[in-house]
Amino acid sequence: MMKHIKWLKYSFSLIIIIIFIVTIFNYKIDSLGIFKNSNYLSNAAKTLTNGEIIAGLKNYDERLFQELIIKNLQVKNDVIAIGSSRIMQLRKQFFLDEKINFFNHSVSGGSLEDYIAIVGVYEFIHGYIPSTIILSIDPWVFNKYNGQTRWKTLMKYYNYEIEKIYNKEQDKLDNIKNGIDISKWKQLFNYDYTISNIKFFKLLSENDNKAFYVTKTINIDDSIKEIDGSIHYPYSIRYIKNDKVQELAKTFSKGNVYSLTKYTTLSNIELFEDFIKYLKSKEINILLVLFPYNPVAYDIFIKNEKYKHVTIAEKYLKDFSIQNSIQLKGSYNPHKYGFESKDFFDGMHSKDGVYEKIMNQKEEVK
Amino acid sequence: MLFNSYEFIFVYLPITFFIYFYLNHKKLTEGSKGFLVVSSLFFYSWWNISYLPIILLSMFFNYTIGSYLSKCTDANKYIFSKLILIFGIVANILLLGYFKYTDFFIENINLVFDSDIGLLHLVLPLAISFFTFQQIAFLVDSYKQEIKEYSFLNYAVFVTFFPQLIAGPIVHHKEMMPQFANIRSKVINYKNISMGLFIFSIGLFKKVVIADTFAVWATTGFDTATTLNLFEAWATSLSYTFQLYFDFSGYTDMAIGLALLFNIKLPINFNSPYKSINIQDFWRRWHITLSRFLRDYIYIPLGGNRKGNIRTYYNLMATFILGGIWHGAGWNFLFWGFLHGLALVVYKVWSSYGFKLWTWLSWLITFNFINITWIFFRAQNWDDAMKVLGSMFSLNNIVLPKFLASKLSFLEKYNVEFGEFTVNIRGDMSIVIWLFVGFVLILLFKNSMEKLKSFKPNIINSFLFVFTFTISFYKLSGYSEFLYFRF
Repeated sequence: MMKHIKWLKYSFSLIIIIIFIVTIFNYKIDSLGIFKNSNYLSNAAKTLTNGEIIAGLKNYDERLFQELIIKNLQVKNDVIAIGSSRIMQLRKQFFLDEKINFFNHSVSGGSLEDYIAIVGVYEFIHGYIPSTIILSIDPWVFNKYNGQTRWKTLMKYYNYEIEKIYNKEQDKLDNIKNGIDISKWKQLFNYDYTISNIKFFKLLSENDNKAFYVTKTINIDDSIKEIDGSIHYPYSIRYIKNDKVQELAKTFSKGNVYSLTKYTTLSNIELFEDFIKYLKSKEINILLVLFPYNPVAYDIFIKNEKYKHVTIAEKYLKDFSIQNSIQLKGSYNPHKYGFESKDFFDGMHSKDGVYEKIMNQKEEVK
Repeated sequence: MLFNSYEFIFVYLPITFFIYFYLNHKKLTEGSKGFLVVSSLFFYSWWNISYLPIILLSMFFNYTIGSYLSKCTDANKYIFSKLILIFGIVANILLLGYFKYTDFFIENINLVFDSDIGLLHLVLPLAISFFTFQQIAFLVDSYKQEIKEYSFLNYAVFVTFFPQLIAGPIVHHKEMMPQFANIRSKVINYKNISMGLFIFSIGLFKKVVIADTFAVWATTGFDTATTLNLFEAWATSLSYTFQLYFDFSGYTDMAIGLALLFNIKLPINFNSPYKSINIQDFWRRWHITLSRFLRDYIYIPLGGNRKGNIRTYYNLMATFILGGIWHGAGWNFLFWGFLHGLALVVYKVWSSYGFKLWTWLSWLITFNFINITWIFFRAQNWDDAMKVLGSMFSLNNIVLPKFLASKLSFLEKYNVEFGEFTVNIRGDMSIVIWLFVGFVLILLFKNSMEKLKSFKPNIINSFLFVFTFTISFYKLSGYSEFLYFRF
């Protein structure tokens, strides 16, 4: 019996020591900046909002980064864009006057919850909403099986904004403001977060303890974030050859098209409409934009019955914008604008020319 | 509450364990049993409290019938007690049938008669298939006078004991109650705790690390991929074959480990089933307690092998078709059961002529048969099954990894492509490694029950325990249900 007691004591001590060490490691390294312990993400946000271009930032929580950017804003933004990675190249110079304050808050896999949460961050922290909001609506926004859960990083702001949209009492809003985020602390014991921290630790070791750096030029082979929040890819993607794009586009549409699986009905319509109604009640100008897919990819997947709701979603948005006098630009269909495969990086991410053409569109394209 | 959750491991389990043994320490034996029942029902209700009345009603009903049957020793009342037994069994089957098969029945009526009867969309109460079978066994054993137990509290412990409540192993009253009555089981036993935690952590690792890794590829391949190439189709089917085994045997290991903490030994449920060299061997190693139930309460009452070959084959087919439909309301489950029944009949005929194959060939045929039949078990509809199966045996859709292109370019003239060979199932090269690991684990390693049998409190086992528990602990943050919870 004593042998077993000793065995249990020894094993449990070892487990506790390992968990303790890993927890401290996760807390200290904090690659996503969740515990505000590793200041690199906060520093990156401050650098960016101070008007400097940053480069080299990889493997971080994009939602958290947007929160930190909004927190550190030096100016009051007039126009913001919210969407997915499909609008990350949307730059101020394409369509706005120099004097207007603009920021691109797009995040990978942006969903309706992200739109609401990011507007929530503005209201929560600064008490205002920018006077114009550009919402880049991807077709998966209305797919309840889109698999997008990353918005939960901003859950607090999402809940706050939902309460605002549905006009809930002040004490409930205060509770949300003061609540403790348990999911955040769970990250200390999360396998994926531990792996991410190990990778980040390795990255820091290899780069003189720097997770990002300031650059004066965009002509460097690295991931770049401009002061308006738009991005530039590293050279391998920025200057990708067209035959490679075509190959990527085919692969993209042959597999499960990103976030469009099990798209059997339009969901989230009520919440979307209530959100828009709320923004309109605050006299916010809204611009809805639909960015096209690569024609090679689009032509393959749109023929598939499984993805018919891409067309249905576009039709719904067009009807909705007309009924509610909201401006809508663009289309998921690249042929309406004569785009070719060379205008894209892959199956769904477009190059600068696509943004310029769509954002400067005067007449509605049929 | 899931075994693989923080709230179970760090809150529910320690509280239940310490209060149970504290009450026993204070000689409050009945109180400790009562506490175990209440905490098990709490565990059960965690998912959905609306299921609670169903299990309570089922327990009261079966206890009443069972008590009557076990007291009914008078030969004159033989026919009446048989009628009571039939009534009890039919009532249990009706309860299970109502929740599990009503919509399936309506769908088929609509199909045959072109009618439009609305579906009831009933939510299947958790564990109903398991506790119904367990209680049917109790009724039959009571009728056979094999049970001398009249206390409702003991009966409630037998039905609700949380380690085996949700997905088995399916236990007999006579193998559980003497253990609860044993005075030795009322004190903390450190040997059982070491062994219990050891096997629990292995089960947890099997579930959250191995099964959940394979689950991604299996789910994508079956449910979302529109097309699959040859490798993807095999990877999909093998991923599910491994997922199901590591998920269910992982759950069983956890159940056995948890029961050991309370000094209760649950029966073995898996014994390296994928090492089987024929289909009969497989059913002696896979879900052993279900096979035992089907044998004792369906196959043997139908006549077993006592009435000639033809009748034996008929009994086997009937048993396996029922076994298939027990798993779920769908033609796919019925077909899966039919295929296994048929395989057993073929094996019986084959063996009766004294034919034998090389062991490795027997294994290969058996494993592939099992792998292929799991496709029908897993697919949500016939089209999904055909998508996977068709691609597994089609030579027109071969895609190989790009790095082989330079060495095997001559294959291009045979329509072999080189490129993203796992893109449709969201995989990469790691899938090849995991499949290899899967085969190594099922074929070359001792299974967890063998490890438990030879358990010694030494450094190696401590390392294994610490390793499996710690990795699993970090993998716990996601929600992942056990596959057999839906059956």
